[in-house]
This record gives sequence, C-alpha cells and structure tokens, in this order.
Amino acid sequence: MTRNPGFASFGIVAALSLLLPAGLSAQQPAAEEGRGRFAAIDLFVDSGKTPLAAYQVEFMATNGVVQIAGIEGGEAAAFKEPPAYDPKAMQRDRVVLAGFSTSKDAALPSGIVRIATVHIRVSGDRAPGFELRLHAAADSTGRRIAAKATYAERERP
Amino acid sequence: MRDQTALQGRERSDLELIDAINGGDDGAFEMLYWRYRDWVVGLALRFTGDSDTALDVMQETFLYLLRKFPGFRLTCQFKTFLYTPVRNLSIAAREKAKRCQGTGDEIGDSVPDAAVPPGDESVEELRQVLAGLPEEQREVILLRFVDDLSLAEIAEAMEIPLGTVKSRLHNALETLRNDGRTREFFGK
Amino acid sequence: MQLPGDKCKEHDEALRAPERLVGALKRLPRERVFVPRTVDDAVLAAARRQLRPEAKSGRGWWRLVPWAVGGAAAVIIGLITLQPGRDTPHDPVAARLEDLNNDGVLDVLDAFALAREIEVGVSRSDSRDMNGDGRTDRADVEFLLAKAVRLEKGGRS
Repeated sequence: MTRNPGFASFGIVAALSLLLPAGLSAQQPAAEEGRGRFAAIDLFVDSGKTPLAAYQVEFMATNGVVQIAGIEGGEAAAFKEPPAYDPKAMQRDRVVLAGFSTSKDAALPSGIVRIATVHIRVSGDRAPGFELRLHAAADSTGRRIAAKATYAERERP
Repeated sequence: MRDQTALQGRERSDLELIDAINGGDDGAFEMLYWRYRDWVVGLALRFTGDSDTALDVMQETFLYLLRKFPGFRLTCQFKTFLYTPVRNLSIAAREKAKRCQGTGDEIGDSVPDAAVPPGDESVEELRQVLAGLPEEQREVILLRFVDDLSLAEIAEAMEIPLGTVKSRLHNALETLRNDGRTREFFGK
Repeated sequence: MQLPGDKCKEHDEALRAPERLVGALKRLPRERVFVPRTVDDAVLAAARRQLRPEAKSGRGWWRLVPWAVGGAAAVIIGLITLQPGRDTPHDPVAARLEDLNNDGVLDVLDAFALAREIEVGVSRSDSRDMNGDGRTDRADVEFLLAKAVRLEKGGRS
C-alpha cells in the first residue's frame, strides 16, 4: 500500500488550522465589544526645564473594561501628529506610543507636555483603572533625560 | 431608465446614494457616512456639550439610519431627516449621563466655548449674546444661518409649526438687533 | 393701501439676517471632535454586514471555509518558517545593528538617532539599511519605530 504524502501534509495543515483559531480567540480583548461610553485620556511627559525631543510610553488599562478606540497627537507642534503605535493595539487594552522631533531646542516643548491622547471605550459601570510607564525620554541630542509620565481623564462637562 | 454614464465624473446626490443603498450598495452608505459624519457629530456636540457623548450619538444615529434599509424613502433634505434622531439621541444620552453622574444640566443647542481667533472680538460678543438667548430661539438661529436649513425644513426637523419657527427667529433677531454688543451687525 | 401680501413681505424681511451677521455666525468657533478610526470602522462594518446580499444569505460560503482556513494556516506556517533572518525576533545580529545608541534596548531612541543621522547626512548605507531595501532613508526610521512599539515584544528588545 502506497502512502500519499499530499494527504499527510494536508492533514497536518488541517489539524493546525483547527488549533490556530482556538489560539487566536484566546487573545480577544477582555472588554465587551459594542456598547460603552467613550472617554479621552490625556498623556503627559514632564521633562522639567529640558526640551523634550523624544519619548516612548506604555499605556494600559488594568481591569478589563477598556478598549482602545483611537490615538490622537499632542498639543505642542513637535508632537502634534499622532505618535507611532502598533495597530494591533486597537480594540485591546494596552498600547506603546513613541514619538520624536528633530527640531531645534527652541521649537521643542519643556515642562509638562501633553504628548498624546488615547481615546477609549469603557464598557459596564465599573470605573476603569490605568497604568502609564515611561520607557524613554530624551533631549535633542538623543541623550536620555529624567522625566515623569502622567495621565488624566478629560473631564466631562 | 437611469443613465449610468451620466453618473460618472460627478458626485452622486443624496437621493442617488439612498437609492443605491436600498439596492444593497454598502459603498454608497460609506459615501453618505463621510458626507455627513462631521456635521452629525458637530450637531450632537451642540446638543450635548461633550465630545465623548457626541461620538456615541453620532454612531447611534448612523446605526439608526442603517436600520431603515432597505425601503427607506427620503422625502426632505437629508440634514432635516438627520436632525430629529440626533436631537432625540442626544437627549437620551444626556438623561443617561444625568442619572449616572447626578448633574442637573439641561440639554440645549449650545454655542461651543472654543477660542475665538484674535482680532475677532465681535464674534466673541455674538457668542455671548447667543448664549443668553432662550434655547429654542438659539436653535432656530443656528439651524437657519449656520446649517443653512430653510424655515420649512427647520419646522419639519424640530416638529413644530412653521409659524412657531418664524416667531422664534423673529424674536432672536430682535434681541441681537437691540443688544449693544451685536447691534453693529445690523448697521448700515 | 396695504395689500394682504405686503404684511407677509414685511414679516419675511424681518426674518432675514444681514450678511455681516450671517458671516459672523458662520465664523463662530466650533470645537473639532476627534473621531477615532475604530468608530468609523464599526459603523461601516455594520453597514457591510447588513447591506451585502452574500453576507445575508449565508449560502455557498460555508463550502469555502475548510479551504480558506487550510490555506490561511499554510500561509502563516510559511511566513513563520521562511522569514528572512534580519526580521526574526531572536536574531542577535539584527538586534545589535538596530540598537543604534548601544544601550541594550531597541526603542524610540534608536529610531531618533537614525533620523538625526539621516537629517545631517552622515548615515552609512550598509549598516543603517534596517529594512534591507538597499537604501538608508525615512523608511528605515519607520521600520525601527514600528519594532519599538510592537506589542508582542512589549515595545522593548
């Protein structure tokens, strides 16, 4: 009896194809899709007196009721464009944001700077919890500087 | 019989898009969405005063519109048709927010508090006078002169008699004419 | 003598606004609402689900599912096994090349360093060609930035 290698390959692929969707579905976002209220979370980096030229932060929701809906740029001209982020972060609850500007010091912001705004959808009535970590902040020469990252939910009138 | 070649090279009208959507064309719905999305969200913001709630209202408005297909017949200007669901959904959203947050704010067609460009103080004064008008008069003024709806369309959108629209508009213009801050707009 | 139509005309005149007033009303500042992309996507996805006839009927496409899933699995396996060495997450040589500031971490500061080099024209094409296209340009900066914010690695190398 001869064996058909084609069937064996197909069998492996078919078996894997059954496993893969199961694995993928385990990565579905914790928050419920669809209804919920929108909120905007402003992210800030405080570089003190040093002009801020580059930053990288990690923003995450901590209690499973949040989906990230969009990312908006900051207020200073240097960071007006939306930062870089992984598109896979949309509809999840964690995102890494990074931005930089090659402008001269005079055109860079310092002090407390709103670098970006994360728009989220919150499901249910539970108040969301967040965490913000600063991965890197640098001056115009690329040198790491001491800085602090904070966030604030925009007030609803 | 519709001449398809005549449709190429020019933008399709709202009626043509609705016709196409009734035939299952989701691309036509997408065109209608982009055409009116910003107007709907701006109107919702006027009613709710809150951008996050305005987003909710905008989304609900288009989902409400979607549920009307197939079989939807547009019998007025599209903005006139959209006005009512935007207003009603805004009211519902604000009521829900009041229940959750316990605020006593009333819904109204408000004038946004965004910064007036420097050198345009007369616009800032106009904004202040408008903010002092009764809500129903302010709504008519903004619909007429900012959203360019006709008086009949305003009556249909707000579901009030045409005479009432005229009366509110007349009273609003009188206030602006007599207020020292906005009298200059009526000067010779 | 006043004709019946005259009163209507008078009344209609009183409902007109001077051009200056209309111009000022149209210049009233309007707050621009940022509409997250996911909101647009949600509405348009709902429209596609509702309006496309083939999505409604549900007939016929079931037969394609095993082939589609098997084909997708084969593509995924191929991509994982055939990826060039440069882009393999655990390629230590690539990671060293990408760590332009030699701080042991791949983050925004490496992309920033390359951007500054490109701006002043000092980048050497061989070692700075991050995406393997034979050139050193903005695309290499974007390549590094995308790796820095990638979620699977937590944004860090």
